[in-house]
Amino acid sequence: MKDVVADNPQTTKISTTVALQSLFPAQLKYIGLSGKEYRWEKAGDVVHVLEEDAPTLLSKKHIHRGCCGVYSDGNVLFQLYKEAVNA
Amino acid sequence: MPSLITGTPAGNVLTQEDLYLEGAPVIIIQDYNANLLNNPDADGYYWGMSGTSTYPAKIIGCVEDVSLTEGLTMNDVRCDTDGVKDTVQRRDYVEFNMTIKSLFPLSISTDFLNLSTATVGSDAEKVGIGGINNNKSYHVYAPKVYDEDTGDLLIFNLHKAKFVDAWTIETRYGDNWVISGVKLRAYADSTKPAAQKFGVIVRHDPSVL
Repeated sequence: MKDVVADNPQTTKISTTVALQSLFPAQLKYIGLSGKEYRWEKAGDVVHVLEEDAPTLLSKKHIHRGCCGVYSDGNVLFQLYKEAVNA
Repeated sequence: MPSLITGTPAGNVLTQEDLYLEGAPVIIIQDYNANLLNNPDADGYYWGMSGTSTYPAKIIGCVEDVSLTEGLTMNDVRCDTDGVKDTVQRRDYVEFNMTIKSLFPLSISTDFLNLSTATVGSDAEKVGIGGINNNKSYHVYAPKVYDEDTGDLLIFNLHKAKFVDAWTIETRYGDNWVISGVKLRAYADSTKPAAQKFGVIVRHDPSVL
């Protein structure tokens, strides 16, 4: 019996992830463009997200109208934690 | 005798400055577990704040009627023969009282309303009204720039404070909502030197000092 897998080799897709660190003191729950849901339990937590989801998450701000002078651009939620790693 | 009689005493006399401050300081809090920026500084004082990813600094937005006061235990030393001969005092706490106009985001107001940790998503943020976490303390950093041209400022730094007492959210007809009754009370921090166990006041004014 032939090995189906051997006759039809599948392309192995390597997903690249990016480590994002929460900067916000709350439980954060966001769905990326890929449809995957991510959750940070508290400020400082690091979660590896798919590379395609990273730009959207990095651009997220909790509010866009801050109250306080130089900090009036709103609260940035995430920052890059380290270089991308292969999952 | 001087030509103008002012009633001032003879000898070494010090005077205060003709400088008056207006408006409230900015009130910033940070989790007590964070290290102070100067921990200590070259003179041995513990003060300053630096937000980190784990312990962000949070600015309390739009405050009004801010006052800084203290609580004391004070008892007279009474003698039946002479009356009150002395008063013994002990500082119990130092406290900011304030009225707050900014209710949002809930993930920050949860601190001064003593609510649960917020959950934030793409379209909603949620906080619970439950019990009060009595183990949560904050550093308080309250700078007041009193000369914006020169950057002269006064900083109140309280080491270990909690939001105490009952708040009230006043929903007034034709007026903005107001959160009143907020008290940020600083207690003695036994990890700091005795002379600064409640906090530190720093004045930065190179033109005068």
